[in-house]
Amino acid sequence: MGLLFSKIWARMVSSKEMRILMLGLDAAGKTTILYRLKLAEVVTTIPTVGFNVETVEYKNIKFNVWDVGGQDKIRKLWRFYYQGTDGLIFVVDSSDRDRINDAKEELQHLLQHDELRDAVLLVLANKQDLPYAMPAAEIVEKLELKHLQNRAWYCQSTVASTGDGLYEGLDWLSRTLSARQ
Amino acid sequence: MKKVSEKNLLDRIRALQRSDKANKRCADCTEVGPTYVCLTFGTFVCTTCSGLHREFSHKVKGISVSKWTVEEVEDLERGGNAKAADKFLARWDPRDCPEPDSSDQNKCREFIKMKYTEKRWVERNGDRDHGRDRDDRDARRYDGGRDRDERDRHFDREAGDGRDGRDGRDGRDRDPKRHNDSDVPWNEDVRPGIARRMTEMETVIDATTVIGVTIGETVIGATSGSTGETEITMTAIGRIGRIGRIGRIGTGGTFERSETEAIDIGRRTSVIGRMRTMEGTVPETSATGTTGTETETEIAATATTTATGIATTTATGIATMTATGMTGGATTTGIETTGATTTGIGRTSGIGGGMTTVDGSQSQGQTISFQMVAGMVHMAKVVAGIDEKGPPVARFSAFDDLCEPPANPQVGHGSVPQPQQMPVPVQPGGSMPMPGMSLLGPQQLQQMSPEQLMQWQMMLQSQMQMVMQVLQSKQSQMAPVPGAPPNAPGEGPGQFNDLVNAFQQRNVPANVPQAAGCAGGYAGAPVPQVS
Repeated sequence: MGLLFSKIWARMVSSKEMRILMLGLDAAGKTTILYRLKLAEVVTTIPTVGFNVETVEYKNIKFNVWDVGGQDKIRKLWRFYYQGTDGLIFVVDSSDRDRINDAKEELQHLLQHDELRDAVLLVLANKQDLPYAMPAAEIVEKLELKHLQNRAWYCQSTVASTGDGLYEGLDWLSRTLSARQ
Repeated sequence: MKKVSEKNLLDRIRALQRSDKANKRCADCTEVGPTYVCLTFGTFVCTTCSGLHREFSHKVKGISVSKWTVEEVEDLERGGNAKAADKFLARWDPRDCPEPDSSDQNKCREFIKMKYTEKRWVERNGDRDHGRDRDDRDARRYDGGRDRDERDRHFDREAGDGRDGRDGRDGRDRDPKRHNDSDVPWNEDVRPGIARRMTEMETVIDATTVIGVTIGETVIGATSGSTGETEITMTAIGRIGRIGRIGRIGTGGTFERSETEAIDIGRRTSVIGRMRTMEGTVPETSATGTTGTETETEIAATATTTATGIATTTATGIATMTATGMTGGATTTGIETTGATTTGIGRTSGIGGGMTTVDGSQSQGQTISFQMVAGMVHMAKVVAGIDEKGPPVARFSAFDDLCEPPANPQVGHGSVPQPQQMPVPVQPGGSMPMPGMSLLGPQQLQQMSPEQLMQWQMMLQSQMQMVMQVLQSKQSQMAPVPGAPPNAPGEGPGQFNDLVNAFQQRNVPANVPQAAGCAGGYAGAPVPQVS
């Protein structure tokens, strides 16, 4: 009985904190999203060399969001952040058609890592405010998300500068992650 | 093959940056030592402006943290800051709208908007007068380039030109105090003559009286030991801008000749240290030294900067390394070495707690080359070269701590600052898996079990969190930042450890980045692995 209770308790406690890893190509808007969530305002960012981490509390879940720099040569550092990731947020600059294929390759590549096997995937099709931005459906197609197997994923269109879509994305994360507990 | 071409491209960019004075400054503000390229306009820009350009959906790339394509580099070679200025600043009058200081993001944003979006100063047909103005201005601006060939340029040459006529600060820069003992110029060209300028004394260049842009530099030689070792110590103290802080670079080593360039750009500091070896002998003044062609060559270099943001340390040479590491709450990354004669691959490791090590001891090569971009680094150490058996061993280490300018800017002689109050690292949670926050080399990490690694990671994370908390709680005061504890036994040469310890013992006040996301994060640190 005591054991059962402690198990339930442990579950309740552990369900409250989620490690979220936010990746994406450089200039996708990861840091802006992070601080939009954290501070509810638009901050001026500089290209992230290294990472930023913030705890965002939403719907009784503490999201520990790790935002890791996305410039080419430091992408190989992403793997150091994989461990223990519950949810992966992959941010895409929807207006950057030139590099959507790069984004696909990076995403597909990182999803193959064993450490991310259990991570759910939230794709944020960011910068929807820009002209000619690809809609979420097109992002889904370009990133070949539908080919993913054994992966809970969701694609949400966002505008980091206004915050549009961000909480919808978190909603999905919290629902999906809570359901797993 | 791919490596070589990548290196070549990077070399081309760097060469381009060196070849033109305009490329050594941010295209859009007063910052010196730009580390980003704005592809949209083919310009070199600083970190702040690179971030702002992204807001305008302009494409930017970090010079050292990006892979470059031939096309991009060619475009850049066709462009450059001077060309862009010709176009976008054709009708610009600095008196109406001076170039913004990089510390004022809003002004920078506004300037970029006027310059590129509104194209306010783009020359229009029939606007000849302004065009002539601009020519004059440019002529003046590049005046400094002409004395490039003069031997006795002064370190603060940069302060006097490059700025003239651009921001209306002329008068203040005109007559900077030039009382440095060493009037050795820093220059890009390898010149044998410079070695002779080295003295046994440490020379301190005080550039604090210069308002505007200062590049402080000095080349100092000092000898020590009788075993064929020569030490070269360099210290550069530069102060830049109205809010500039004191930056220092100290390097010591046994190169016949080395150069450093310290660029202190105020709130965010870049330190570029360049070291080169060349054929020749040790400076004459190195009385007890031996020739620089000794097979055992060591370079130990320290650079102390007052950086709240990014510190960049560059040394050119040969060897290839990539390093990742958490340093003082931010990631140190992109340590990269490239080289022609590299046979070994540099091994790297980085550890939180204020120290990063790059160990390239398996690389071969006479000189090392790497670039380190670090946010909030307290200390970093790079070791490159091959082991004792082989010819040159090169060590480079960089210290980058966060401190306010000393009350007395006339920083005294001595590359190693006087020990002050020792900041005590916070011990998280009582039990520590490792003795102290030692610096772990890649081999040591390899030897650790996954459990140990996880423990190590957790400890570092909690350490980082505590650092963050302490920093935040003391943000407004002069708060000591926990420095890195001493090296693990046997790590690095004794001399280096001494330097490390001395630096650790400094009372390092915290400078927390002002804008969110300015420098890396604080909490937690993933366990770096050997790449």
